[in-house]
Amino acid sequence: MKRRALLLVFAVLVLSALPFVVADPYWLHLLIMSIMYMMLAASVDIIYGYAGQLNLGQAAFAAIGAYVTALLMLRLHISYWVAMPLSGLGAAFFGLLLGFPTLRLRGLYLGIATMGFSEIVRLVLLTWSSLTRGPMGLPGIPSPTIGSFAIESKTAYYYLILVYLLITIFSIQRLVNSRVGRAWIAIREDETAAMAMGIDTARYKVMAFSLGAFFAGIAGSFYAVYISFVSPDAFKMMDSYLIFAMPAVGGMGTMLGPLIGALIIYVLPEATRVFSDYRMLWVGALLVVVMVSEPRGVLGGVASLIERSRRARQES
Amino acid sequence: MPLLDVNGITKRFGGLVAVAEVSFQVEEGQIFAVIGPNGAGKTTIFNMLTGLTGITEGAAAFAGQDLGRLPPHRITALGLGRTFQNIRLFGRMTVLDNVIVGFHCRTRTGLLGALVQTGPARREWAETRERALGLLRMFGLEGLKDEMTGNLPYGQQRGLEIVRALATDPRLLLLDEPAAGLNIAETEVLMGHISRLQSEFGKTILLIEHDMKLVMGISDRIVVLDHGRKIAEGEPAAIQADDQVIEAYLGTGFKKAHARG
Repeated sequence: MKRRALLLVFAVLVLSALPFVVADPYWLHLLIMSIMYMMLAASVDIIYGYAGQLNLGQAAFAAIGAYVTALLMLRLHISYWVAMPLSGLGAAFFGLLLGFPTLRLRGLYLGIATMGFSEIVRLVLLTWSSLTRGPMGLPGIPSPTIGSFAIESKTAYYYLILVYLLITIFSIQRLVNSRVGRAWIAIREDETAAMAMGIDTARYKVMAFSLGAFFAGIAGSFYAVYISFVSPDAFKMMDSYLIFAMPAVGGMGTMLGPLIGALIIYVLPEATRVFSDYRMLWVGALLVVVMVSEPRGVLGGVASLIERSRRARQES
Repeated sequence: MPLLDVNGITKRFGGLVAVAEVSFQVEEGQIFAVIGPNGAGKTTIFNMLTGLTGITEGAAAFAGQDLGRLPPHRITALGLGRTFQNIRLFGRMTVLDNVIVGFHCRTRTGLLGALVQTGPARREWAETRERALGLLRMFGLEGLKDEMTGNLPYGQQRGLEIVRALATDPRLLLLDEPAAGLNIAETEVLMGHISRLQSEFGKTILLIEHDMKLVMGISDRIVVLDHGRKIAEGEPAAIQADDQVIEAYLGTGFKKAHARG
């Protein structure tokens, strides 16, 4: 327990020091984006990794969060610090809306419904031009300010998203290790048995959906001010699939899994931009290889390696 | 008033009548068995009583409360706990966590309490853990608390399912073939457990079982089903002597064996 806490402090220190080491703005940008994707991956992991509800439309919640922030700041000149939580709540509200009709759906059927939802969100953003300017998007989203200090530099944005990620992970860990999280996992493992244990499964599924949407909405809100531009292309269907694949590759229903997955799926292809045209090809290939060789993801693979070496040591 | 009053319940799946107008009453403190050949509708009755499937006709009341329209989690909260014929444990959870989930409907911590880790939330979590450990200890499973449930041997999974159902604090415990797949020694242990549930914990038990030694050994009263209909009800001795039951289920060999034994 103590060792874990020390490791955590160490990891946070290393992450905090990174902007001083990574001077190149392109690499810093990659870092910022990958942390944002880690947050998105962790948010979808609540819904699928813990509560077991297939969700292939997580990017739509990020898009909703991004647009809520953009519209509130541009049209109503509301401070970012008010717009940000409202973006989370707005996304959570849509998570709730999506959660209810999908209560009767399971597995693949639920996945297809969430895909449909994500496409509807994209189409609304695209065609409701009077509000969203359609495909032209919303440029010129102002930077957040704290007093007279404006968050404009990459370094400042890096710390902002890092704080969001830490809060996200901290919240998820607290929830998972509570009555609420245990109910989610029970539903994932066996919904019928969960009901027989007195769990109101509908309530907990909707709760997982809206909470996952909340964190995705906050990530989207960050994207809006960081890039200072949002368009219906910002979070596409493809992003939903990649976000979904992140915890799957890293290790679903674990703390580090979504983070590792986000690193593998977002950073590696970006870092190998030279092969830009082919990168989705090998990301796809990687997914196949990981899923075939270790369905529990990279973390699961590491766990079984440790287990195997421990057993070998015991035997010798 | 009986604890469980089943009054002419019928279940139709399309044209198929799985259960036809079955009635029986379970008194508080009894061990009550439902027996009958495969496909007689025993598990369907359990599913109707626990809200997993609707009651087509008739009514069932638990402690005076109609079960007809209640969702499963509300029925569990009323005090009806159950196990499943084809073990339904949470495989990728530890043994202890399985039991902790059983306490769900007797605890209250919600989203906010868990996030903020308020005093009551923390106390409740610690208490739940202690009580779950206590239950595991009573059934000799404490040493396995950190094991992944999916890795347990079959016999222990059966035992754990009963412990988990016990955690929901039921007044009536529905056990669906608890001895299925157990060897003779494991069945002996199980019989001991079930008797303890009645004597030590004061639970009323409704039991589906094919192991006749177990059923005849511990039941206070037995209902026999065949093709969805009740063909007999009574005490074990009377059931063993009932010609219709022997014909439909026990087989003539059973009578001879008992006449000899």
